Amino acid sequence: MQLTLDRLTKQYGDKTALDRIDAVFRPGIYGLLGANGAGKTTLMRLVCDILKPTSGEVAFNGTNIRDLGERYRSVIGYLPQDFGYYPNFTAMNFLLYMASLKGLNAGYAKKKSLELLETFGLFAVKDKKIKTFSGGMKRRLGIAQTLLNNPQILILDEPTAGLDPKERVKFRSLLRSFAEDKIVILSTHIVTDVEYIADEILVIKGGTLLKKGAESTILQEIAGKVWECRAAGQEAERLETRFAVCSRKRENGEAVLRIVSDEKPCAAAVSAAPCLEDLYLYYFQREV
Amino acid sequence: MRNQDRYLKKILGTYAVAPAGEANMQKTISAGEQLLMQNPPQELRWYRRIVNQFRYISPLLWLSQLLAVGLCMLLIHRMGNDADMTAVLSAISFIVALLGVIGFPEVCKSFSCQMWELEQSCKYNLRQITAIRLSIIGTIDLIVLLTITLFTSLQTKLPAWEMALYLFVPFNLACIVSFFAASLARNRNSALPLFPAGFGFAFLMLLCINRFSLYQSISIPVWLILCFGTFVILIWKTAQFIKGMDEGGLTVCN
Ligand SMILES: Nc1ncnc2c1ncn2[C@@H]1O[C@H](COP(=O)(O)OP(=O)(O)OP(=O)(O)O)[C@@H](O)[C@H]1O
Ligand SMILES: [Mg+2]
Repeated sequence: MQLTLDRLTKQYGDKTALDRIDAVFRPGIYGLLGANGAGKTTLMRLVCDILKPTSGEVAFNGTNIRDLGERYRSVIGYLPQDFGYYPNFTAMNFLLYMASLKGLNAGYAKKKSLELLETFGLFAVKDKKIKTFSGGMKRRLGIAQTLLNNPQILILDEPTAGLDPKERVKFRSLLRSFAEDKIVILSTHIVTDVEYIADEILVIKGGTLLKKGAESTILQEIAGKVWECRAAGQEAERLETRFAVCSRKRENGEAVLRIVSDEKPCAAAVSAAPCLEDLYLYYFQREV
Repeated sequence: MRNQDRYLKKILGTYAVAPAGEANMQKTISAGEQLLMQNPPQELRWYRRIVNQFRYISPLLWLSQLLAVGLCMLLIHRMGNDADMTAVLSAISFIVALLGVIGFPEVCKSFSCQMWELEQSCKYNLRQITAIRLSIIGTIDLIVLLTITLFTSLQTKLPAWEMALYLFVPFNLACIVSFFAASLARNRNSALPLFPAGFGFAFLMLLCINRFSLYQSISIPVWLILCFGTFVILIWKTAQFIKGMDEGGLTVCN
């Protein structure tokens, strides 16, 4: 099973949201990392056959998904970044409706829906109106919906937004157990999520793919560029204005700064092991 | 083929197989069930798809359509008691035009409720769903319209086809206006502009018919051409609307 993006480009009017993306996905979990407006949602919509690419193509096992049509859409599950529901839908109604669109028969749909409601801790509220749900509950319902047809390709746009830490941990382990032999693509702003779940990371900036690879490989990029230095008062302020500071804490009256920079920020700086958050800052700090 | 079947059955019948244990049978069944749960067949017959969409159309729509029919019947009944025929006919046209408008919030609800993205990613995507919804609502509108036409023509002693002209033209025009309003509405993710546009248009019709006594001033051949023309435009708009879905809701919006 293989999903290939071939010079995938999407323009909205004269604005290029995605610019010639090339990538190959094989079974595994992929994390999309990028700032607001980088093009993550656009990429996912193209992969889900929701939007038509301006040029280039997405191919599943070598065939363009626009040609596969229904056959392709029946093997995917998609969680949009934002979604609504028809007024008066209960959680159960919502799942049954989605199941009917996915072409599942009523008997199976009912069984699977109950099973999923149980898995996502929504069984007790299955007959409550969705409009009474909290943001996190809605999110979980959205994730549950993607799994109805046991998809081979799972695409989740910010699945962990709005989930509390406990649910997040639960979601991660669920995804792990589900993802075997499947292609899972997820986007998030929560860097630690990607760090824990993803086998491979894709960094998107301004519609182009900057990096793709396992965490350790892409961290090589900034090896030796992460520094920790202790500074007091004025010196700390000077460093903060000049460099990308990832974190700052106080220790016995001194500030300890974690800095990502090509050059050594100050004489007392010591090199530190890079993490994904540093990488994110390295790429995206300079534009704010 | 049949013969072969029978032949095979006969041969198989001569073999005796020891009955399987209850536990073994259960094991096989549950293994099969598990396999089915993992690879659910994803295929629904066309009539099931229609029934599925039908179930999710708001009952309010059916109610308001019933109301429209009831009102028309009442008006038709009044016509017998020598009320002003043009006034009654134009009132019926007004109701019929509204009939065309009230179906649209249902058709566009994927956008107004922000379900379009989810629906578009499913096997039976937005295009199919919209086509099914349009045909359900359209068919029912058609039945309602034909009923009203029949009753009116019985009451007025005008031929049914002439009556149909008088009613279908306002209905078609209202639908065309609604389609335009709908593409505006999709931009804003709400069905709000639909109603003012539709109601305003229907009301304008009402005024025009009364003010200029359209039934007399426009001759039958012109009504015929109008009816034909509006049908063509309506069908073209409908096809465009459904085709637009396949481009992805967003591309339509932009
Ligand atoms: N319908 C649209 N019309 C015009 N421009 C759009 C449209 N949708 C997205 N864009 C533009 O395309 C770019 C990419 O948007 P996209 O939604 O893919 O970003 P994103 O990475 O998902 O951001 P976020 O993290 O905020 O969800 C943005 O600059 C956005 O302004
Ligand atoms: Mg997004």
